[in-house]
Order: sequence, then C-alpha cells, then structure tokens
Amino acid sequence: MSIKVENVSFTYSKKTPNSYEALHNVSLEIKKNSITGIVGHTGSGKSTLVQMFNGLLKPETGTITVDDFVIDSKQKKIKNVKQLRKHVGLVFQFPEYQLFDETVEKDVSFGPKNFGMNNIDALNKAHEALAMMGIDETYYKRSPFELSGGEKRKVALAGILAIDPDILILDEPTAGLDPKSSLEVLTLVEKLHEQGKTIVIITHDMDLLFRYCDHVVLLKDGNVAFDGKPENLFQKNIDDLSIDVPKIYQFLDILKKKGLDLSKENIRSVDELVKVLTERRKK
Amino acid sequence: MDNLTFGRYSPYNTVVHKLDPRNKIFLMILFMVGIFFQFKLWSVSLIMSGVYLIILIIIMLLSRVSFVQLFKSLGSMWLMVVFLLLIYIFIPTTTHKIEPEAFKIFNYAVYWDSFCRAGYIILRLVMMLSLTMILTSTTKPMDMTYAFEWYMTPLKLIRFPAHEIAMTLSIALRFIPTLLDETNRIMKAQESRGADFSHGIGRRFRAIISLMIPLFVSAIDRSEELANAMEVRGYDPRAKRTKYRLLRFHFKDLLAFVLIGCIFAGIITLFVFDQQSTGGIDILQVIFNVKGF
Ligand SMILES: Nc1ncnc2c1ncn2[C@@H]1O[C@H](COP(=O)(O)OP(=O)(O)OP(=O)(O)O)[C@@H](O)[C@H]1O
Ligand SMILES: [Mg+2]
Repeated sequence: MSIKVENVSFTYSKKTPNSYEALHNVSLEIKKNSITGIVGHTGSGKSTLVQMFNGLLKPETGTITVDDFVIDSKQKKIKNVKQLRKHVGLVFQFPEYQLFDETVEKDVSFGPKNFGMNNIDALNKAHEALAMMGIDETYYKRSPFELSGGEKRKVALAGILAIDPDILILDEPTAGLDPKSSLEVLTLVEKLHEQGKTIVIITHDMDLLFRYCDHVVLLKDGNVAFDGKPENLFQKNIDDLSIDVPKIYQFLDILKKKGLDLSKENIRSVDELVKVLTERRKK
Repeated sequence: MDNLTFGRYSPYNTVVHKLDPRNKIFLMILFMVGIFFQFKLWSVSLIMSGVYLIILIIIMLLSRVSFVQLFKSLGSMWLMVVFLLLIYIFIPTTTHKIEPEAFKIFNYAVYWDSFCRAGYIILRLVMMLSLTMILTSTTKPMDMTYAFEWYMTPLKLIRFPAHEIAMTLSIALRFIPTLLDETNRIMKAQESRGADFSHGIGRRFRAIISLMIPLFVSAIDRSEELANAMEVRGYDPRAKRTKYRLLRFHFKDLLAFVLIGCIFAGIITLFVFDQQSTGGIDILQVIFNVKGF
C-alpha cells in the first residue's frame, strides 16, 4: 500500500458565494512502486486531489493514508506535515514559476536544506539531481532566470528530486515541453520508477499514459469515473472528450481485426511494435 | 490567506450591490464625514455612535457583508489601540470631560478620560473600516473605477489624465485576485519543497523570499505581456471611447440618497445645536461621579 484515499470530498471557498465542490466522495488506491496516471477534463479535480497527498490541502471529509501518515478530515492539523512532504514530492504544473535563488545550484538545494541538510550535503544533493536531469556543471552558477523554458522546467524538477522523495507526483510534467525534453523527463521518471519510487503523473497525453502507466484513474467532475488498467480504459469506449485513444492502441486494434493478435506482447509504443514485428519475421 | 481577502468583491445580488457606484461612493463619504463630527458632550457622541452602528449593521445585513471577516481584520488593530491609548495617556490635556483619575503611575495621574477618548477614536475607525468594506465587497472593481473616472471628468478640462489614472486603477484592481491566486500557488509549490511559512524567524524569512521573488517576476512578466497585448490592439489612451457598461441612476439610488442625506442633515442640525449649547448634564460624567472614583 502506498496511497489510499477513502471517501474524500473537497470544496473550495466554502461558505462563500464562490463555493465550488472540486472533489466528491473520491476513493482510490495507489500501489507501491506503480506508475499511476490521473486523467480527466480540465477542472475535473486532478490537481486538487494530488495536493492532498502531501498535505497542502486537507480533505473536508474522509481519510487519506500515505504509507505511515494518516490525513484525516477530522484532525485540526495534519500531523508530521514536514516528514510527509519529504516523503511525497509534488511537482506543480509549470514548476518553472517557483525558481527564486541567485544560482541554479542554490535553488535546487533549497529543498534539501529545508529538510535539515547542511549546506555542503544539500549542494551535493543538488548536483546529483541536476545531473539526473541532464543539466551539466556549466549551468550550476548561472541565474535560473536566464534559462530557457525547458531548462527552467528541468531545474525545477531537480529541485524536487533533490529532496529524494519516495513518492513522486508530477502535475502535467511535459506540458509545453519540446518532444526531446519531454522524452528526457519521462525516461528519467521511468528510471526513478525502476529505483523503487512510486510515481503519480497527471496528464492529458494518452500516448504517454498508455506507454508509461500501469494504472489509470479517470476523474470526471470530481468523481472517479474509471479506475484500472490503461488498456481497459480505451476498450471501455468511455464517452469523454478528454480521452483520445492512443494511435498505437488503435493500430493494434486494427491489426487484431485483420487477424494479427498481438495483445499478449504487451506493446506500448511504436518502437516496441517494430521490435516484436521484426522478431516475428525472423522466425 | 484569509485576511488578504478583506473587502474582496462578493457576488451577491442585493439592493446595495445594485446601487450606482457613483452614488455609493458619495454616500459613503457623506457617512464618514458624519461619523467624524465631534460633539461636545460624551453622552451625545455615545448615542450618535450607537445610531451609526445600528445603521451600519442594517446596511451590512442588507448587503450580506460577512461580519466574521470584519472581526478578523479587527484582530490586527490591537497595536493601534495600544498606541492610541499611550498617546492619550501621556499627552497632558487640561480639560477633562470626565474628571476622576483612574489610577496613578509614579505620581502621574491617568484619567478615565484618556481611555474614553482612545476608545471613541477606535470605535470611529472601526465604523470607517466597515463602511469601506461594504463599498468594496458590494461594488465590482470595474464599476468602482468607472465611478472614479466619472468624478474626475471635470478635471479633464485642465488636462488632468483622468482616463489614464482610471485605467491604471482598473488594471491594478483587476489583477489583485490574480496575484492572490498566484501567491497561493507559489506558496504551495514552495511548501512542497519544505519551505516553512509559520515557524522560526530565519525559516520564515527564507520562505517569504522564496515567495516574493517568483511573485515579482511573474507580475513583471504579466505586465509586459499585457502592455504588448494592448499595444498590438492599438490601444490609445487619448482616443475617444464609448463604454460597454453604462452607469445609471435608478429610483433605488434616489431612495438611498434621500435616506442617507436626511440622516446627514440630522447629524448637522444636532452638531450645530451641540456647538451652541453651553451646559447640559453629561450622563457618563454623572455615572463616573456617582460611583465615586
Ligand atoms: N484556489 C481555488 N479556489 C477556488 N476554486 C478552485 C481553486 N483551485 C481550483 N478550483 C476549482 O476547482 C476545480 C478543480 O480544479 P483542479 O485544479 O483540481 O482541476 P484540474 O483537474 O487540475 O484541471 P487542469 O487539467 O486544468 O489542471 C476547478 O473547477 C477550479 O475552478
Ligand atoms: Mg491541474
């Protein structure tokens, strides 16, 4: 068990004329060492949901259990918030807007320092995280404000990686990135997953979802509309404009109809399809 | 976050919301002037304050302004209360409307009078505060700037940049909620990185820096974008323009005007009488004397 959400509701601006119920009685479970995709229309409550996982928002009703941490709506204050935030790293939508320090390395070491590391250790951690993101030493002493959008995004991501959380939540990590940078980010996410981290990705990109996730949650107007395997989501023919069946899935479907059933191969991308097909031909 | 939202426009649809903003601003100023008339006798001041309070409460109920919010913002006024009290205690006055001494600190006499004066000032400030709150939470920022522009129109004759000022004001007002949302977002992002906004001075300072810098950067970016967007659409501050929303003076405006006007006239009459009167029995004075301080 990693994250367990039970009957959680949340209302913004409660008791005002602008009050808006963003989540309604949501229950779901995210398993340890999985890559879970959260999808849904804009405004369906995805960001609201994940902000509860690290204690930024407190549920109005219900309980969230994150490993040893329990967040209960009845508690006045969430216990051990700081440790919870060290445990669950949340990368916001457009994280480049959170950069503030004079140099890239100082900015990335902000997190580790906040969680009690001394300067030298924090800088080492920052260098490690920046290296993971493919940002080399020439950048360390530069101001984060002179970087390009993609580079800023990577630095901001490194800022969370440097904290070394066990659960990593990414809110639309590839939005607005060029294909090369998004591939780099996703490859890194896959690597972190292999190292044993639990990953949650919010995305609108169904190809990404199909390629990387082993579990998907579809939110619709603050309710869970689907919870299960990605391939089942596309089979279900859910009438939702935010679901755009991935090209590769459509292609496999057509192949199947023409008599070539590859569903046992667990193909998730064009590369994998090419590999399987060439192998078959050799045989 | 909560105290930042003081006086934020709340979209109800009450009578007060529907009043013409020009009228509302004028009546608010009238009311404020009324509040600041100083009467000779404590008892008259007290009774009048009571009357103002009742009127204010009625208006607040009518316009559905939140009392909770008002009280919350009052919480931050305690420093001023202490300051005012000290001023009134240590600035010697020869005439005390209420004579008896309260107590002595090292032979320095402290009079009840000081407390009453400080209290009276605070009371009036609170009333001013609630008036402003009524205005801002029942009037759309845009309407407010239209009203300001309308009041400044005569100044255009002497080449006063009324439109430019109104435009600047309306943009500033328009972006307050956006900046608040942005603040909220960046705060959360930094809290995810372990920033601590509530414990320890050093930590708090660092956390606030990590909030302020991205906030300024995004505000500057935004203003540049906005300026460019206005430029490409050919915005010219000196051009003659028509309005999308016309301000209209309705019957209810007249009603409100007459009502507040009458009250104001009453206050002035009372004030004139009060200034002419020479004696009279002050209730408060009597109470304090009888108790025999
Ligand atoms: N701070 C806030 N105050 C009031 N309402 C909010 C706030 N944040 C979000 N909402 C509302 O709650 C709803 C859910 O918002 P949320 O950010 O969770 O959506 P989302 O699924 O992440 O959408 P997107 O895909 O656009 O990021 C939206 O309708 C939004 O208008
Ligand atoms: Mg979102």
